[in-house]
Amino acid sequence: MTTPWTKLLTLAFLSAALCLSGKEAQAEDSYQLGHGYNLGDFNFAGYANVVADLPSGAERRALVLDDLSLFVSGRVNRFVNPFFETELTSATILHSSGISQDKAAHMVLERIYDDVIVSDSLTFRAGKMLTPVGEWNQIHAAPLVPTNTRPLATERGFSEYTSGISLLYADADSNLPEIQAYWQPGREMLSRPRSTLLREYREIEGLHVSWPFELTDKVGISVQRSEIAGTGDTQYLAGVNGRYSWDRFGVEGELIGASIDRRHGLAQDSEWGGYVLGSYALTPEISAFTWYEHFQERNNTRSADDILAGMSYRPHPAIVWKAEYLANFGGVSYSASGFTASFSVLF
Amino acid sequence: MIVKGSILAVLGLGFCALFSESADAEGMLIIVNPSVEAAALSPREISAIYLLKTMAWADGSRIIPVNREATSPLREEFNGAILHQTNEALAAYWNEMHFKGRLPPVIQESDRAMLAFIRKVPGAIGYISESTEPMDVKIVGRVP
Repeated sequence: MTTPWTKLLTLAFLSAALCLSGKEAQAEDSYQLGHGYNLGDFNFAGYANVVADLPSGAERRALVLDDLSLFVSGRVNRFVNPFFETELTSATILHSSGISQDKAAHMVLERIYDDVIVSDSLTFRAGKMLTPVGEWNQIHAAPLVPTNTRPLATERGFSEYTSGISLLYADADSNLPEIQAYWQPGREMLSRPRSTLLREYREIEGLHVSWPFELTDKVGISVQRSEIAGTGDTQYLAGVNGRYSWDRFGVEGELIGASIDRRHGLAQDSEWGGYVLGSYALTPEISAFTWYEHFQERNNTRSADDILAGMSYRPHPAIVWKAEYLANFGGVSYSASGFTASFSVLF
Repeated sequence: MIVKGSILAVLGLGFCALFSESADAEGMLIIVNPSVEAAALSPREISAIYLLKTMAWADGSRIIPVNREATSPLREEFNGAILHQTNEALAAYWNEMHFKGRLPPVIQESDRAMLAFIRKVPGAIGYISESTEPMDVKIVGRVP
C-alpha cells in the first residue's frame, strides 16, 4: 500500500538530488558499504532487513522483508541540507503455506526535512523527522539496534514521527548536554496507512536532553505533551534512557511513563514501561545479549512481561546477523513468543 | 650465561631503538585544501571535525573530513592520537550519525589518493604520513 503523495515525493526528491548532484562533484564519487554512495553534495544510502519469524505454537512462520529503506542526505550550504528517507516495510516473502500473496506491505515516508545550520552548535530543522523520545526511535534501523524485537516502550506510547520544526543544540566540545526541542502544530505529515497506526497523535511538543559521556554512551531524558487525535485526550509523557559500555560489557535501557488526562473507555489513565538490555562481546564480531521488558498499556489492566536472549554476529560494521528467542510470561503478549533470526545490512 | 644475557640485552635495546625510529618516521601531517582559511588546528578541533560535531569552517563553508581505510596503520595511529577511540567504536558511532543525517568521513585508500582528494576538494581535511610530500595542500597540524 503506497499513497500517491509518498510516491510523488519520493520521485521528486530523488530527481532533485540527482540533478543537483550533477554539478561539479565536491566529494569524489565513491561507494563504501555502510556509508553509501557520494554523488556531489548528496549521499545515497539505505538498509535492508530480512527476518525469519518462527513463533512458538500454531502461529504462522514467515520470511519477511521487514525493511528496505533508502535515505538521501544533502550538504549544499548553510541553508540547504535536506534529508529524505522512504521505506518499504513488512513485505512477507514466504510463509508456512507457500509463497506469500500478502498485501500488508506498505511504503512509508519516514523523514523529509531540511536543516539550517545556524551556528556550529545550533541547527534549525523543518519537516517530518523522527521523534526524539529515548534513543531507540532515533536509530531504529535494524543494523544499528541490538535485537530483532523492538522493546514496547520504545514505540507504543508516542508518535514515532514529528512533523513540524525543531531546534537542535550540540556543543562541539561536548562539555554541555545535547538538546532537541520540537513542535508539531497539527497532524503527521504524509501519515502512514491508518491500519498500521496504533493511535494518531497531533499537536506534539517536546524536549529531549542527552548527556553523552562517550562516543555512543549517554544518558537522556525526554518530556512530551501531545493530543490523541479523535479523542480529545491530552497525553503527558516523560522518559529516561541510557547506555553504558565497559570493556566487553554493555548495558542500556529506556523507561517511559505517560499520563492521559481524560478517559475515553481506557482501562487506565496512565501507561508505563521499560526495558533493560545487557550484552557481552565474546569476540569483536560476536556478542550475546539479553533483555527484560515490562509494559503496562493504557488499554489493558494486565501488563506485558517479556524476556529475550540471543546472539549477533557482525562480520563488518555494516552487516549483522542476529538470532534470538523471546518468551512472554505473565500478562499480555504483544510480541509472539518464539525464535527470530535476521540478516541486515546498511548499504 | 652472563655473556649470553648481555648479548640478548644489547640486541633487545637495538631492536627497541630501531622500532622507536620507525615509529617516529610514521608521524603524520594534518592537511587541508588551500581554500581553508584556518592556519592551525588543535587536536581537540580536529577531533570535533572527525566526530561530526563541527560541520563548517569559520567562513561557513562545509567541512569534508577524509579518513583512511579501516585496515590502515596510519588510521589506527590517527584514531589513537587524535580521536582516542578504536576502529570498532568509531564505525558504530559513524553508522549511527549517518542514520541521523550526518555524513561520515570519506575514505581514501592511500597517501597519494588522500593528497589528491584534499588538493581537489574545497573544505576537505585529511592526514598523510610525514614521509609523503604535502604538495599543494596546507598543513594545519602535526602528530608526532
